[in-house]
Amino acid sequence: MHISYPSQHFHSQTFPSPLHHFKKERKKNMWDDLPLDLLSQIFSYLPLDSLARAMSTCKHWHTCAISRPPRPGRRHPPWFLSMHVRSPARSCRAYNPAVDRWLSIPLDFAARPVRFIGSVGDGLILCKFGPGPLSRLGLCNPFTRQFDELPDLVCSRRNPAFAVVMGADEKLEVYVAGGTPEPNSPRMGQVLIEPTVEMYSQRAGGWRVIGSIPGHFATLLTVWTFGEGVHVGGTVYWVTSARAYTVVAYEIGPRAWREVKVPETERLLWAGLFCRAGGLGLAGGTSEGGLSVWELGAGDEWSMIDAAPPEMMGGFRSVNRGGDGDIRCAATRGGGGGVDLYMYSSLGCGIIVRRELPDKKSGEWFLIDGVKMCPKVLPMKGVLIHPSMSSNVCFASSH
Amino acid sequence: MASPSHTRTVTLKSCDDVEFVLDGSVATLSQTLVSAMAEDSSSSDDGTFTWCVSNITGEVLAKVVEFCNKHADISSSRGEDLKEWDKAFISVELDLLYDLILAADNLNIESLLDLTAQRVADEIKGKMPHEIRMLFNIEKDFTDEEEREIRREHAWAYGGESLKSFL
Repeated sequence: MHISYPSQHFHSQTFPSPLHHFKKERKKNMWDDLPLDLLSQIFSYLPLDSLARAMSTCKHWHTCAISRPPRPGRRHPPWFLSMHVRSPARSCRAYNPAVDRWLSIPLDFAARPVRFIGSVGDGLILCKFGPGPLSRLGLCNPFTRQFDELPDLVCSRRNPAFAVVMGADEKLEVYVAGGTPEPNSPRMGQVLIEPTVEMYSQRAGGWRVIGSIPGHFATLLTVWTFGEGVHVGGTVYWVTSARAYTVVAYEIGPRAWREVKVPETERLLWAGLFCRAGGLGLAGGTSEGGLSVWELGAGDEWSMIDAAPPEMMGGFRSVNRGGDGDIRCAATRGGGGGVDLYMYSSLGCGIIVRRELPDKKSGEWFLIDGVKMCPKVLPMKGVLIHPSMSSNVCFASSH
Repeated sequence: MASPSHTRTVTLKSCDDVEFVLDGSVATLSQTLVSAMAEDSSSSDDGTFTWCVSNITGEVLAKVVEFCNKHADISSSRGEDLKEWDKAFISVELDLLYDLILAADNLNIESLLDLTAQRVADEIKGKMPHEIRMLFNIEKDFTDEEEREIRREHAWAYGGESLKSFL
């Protein structure tokens, strides 16, 4: 028996099968019509680069991505954004943990080149403008290209110490302490130091001087810190930037200053502070290549909680000769619920990472390769953020 | 007075009149059912409770009931095994997946909502916009110019340019 079939081409062009037709009809406006609540649920599982591509498929998805902040419960690993520590820039280098790659993210939405100062909340970065003294700060989200300037400081300063504090009501506070006033008129070779602390309050919408700093602390903060402090439980801590290390502590409420000793301070080649689940952490490396992590307890006593595996540190040192000379720390909540601590020095060097495990005691250690072909000697400033595509994170009420 | 939900039997009725009888403890996975049972004062003494879901078909409801039965069974709902089971359970066509998301939302079953959302996200992950449109049958309603603008804003997400514009 011979059966003849119509050619596929002829068939599909002239008589679309009823089933085919039905499927098409049914599918139309399905996924691009999903309620925003459900769509944002789906988006909360996407790493940032996939979300960026998904939001350019159609208007509905775009609206969803920019209007819905990521669900707080979802945990993606943070991104590490960095730039040269001294030169303001039009772009930064970002480490995307989802694909283990470095990218360049433009910062050209700001009128002037910026320098990172620290991270704010989950997805924003506090920056200063240009190479000059600090007279004004800005807030940016490089992923939505939003940018906002804070009002001018009461007193323009060079090299002050600062700290970002998120109040209980999620309102931003920025503390700026010490530094040399600008313009400065040195008297008999003595550089003046501005012995005050001023605070920006998002709630109040401006800066005001809130207290003075005892001379010894003012000098330490101006000359001997990298700038960024760590806020833990109502106290801001700064570690000094040269051996032998010490920590300056400022209790915000009573406005009291004190010095906290650093553990094994004579042995440490570098030391950095970070915030860990309600406590202050300190990471420090020795000239023999060791790296330990401590936690500050009652009575300003430190207890050691972890140490990097010696074989990993050996590998790090052989690849980055001298790269562990001047390491800084950045930390934020990680993908697993604990705190991710990044220890970095320059763009060309790798990054040492300690990922706190959910038991909050032990950590997983690993290395991230530095940016290829980048000099190992340019010190960098890095921030860890949980990037957001949503345009209403924090900005809506920043003034 | 209504008896405690876990001791009752629940009959779920789909929009095409397919009925499923669930153990009360299984039904508690659905917040919608929990609230409905709590409000229900007309409960008969035999402890049955009937709930009609007007917009879920029998085919989809069967999947939902299968999910709830598995997840309510304490002896089997442990760790890796359950993860494997979930993975196999959710390996369905996108059409059914779409219906499951809406059903999970309608009956407010959080674990099913998470599982379905994660599965859709896995389909989107790593794809380019045109590939996503093709897969989900989404019509591009941006003009070419709008699309170029959006892509320019997130050029870093499209690879290629990576580090060129730096330094």
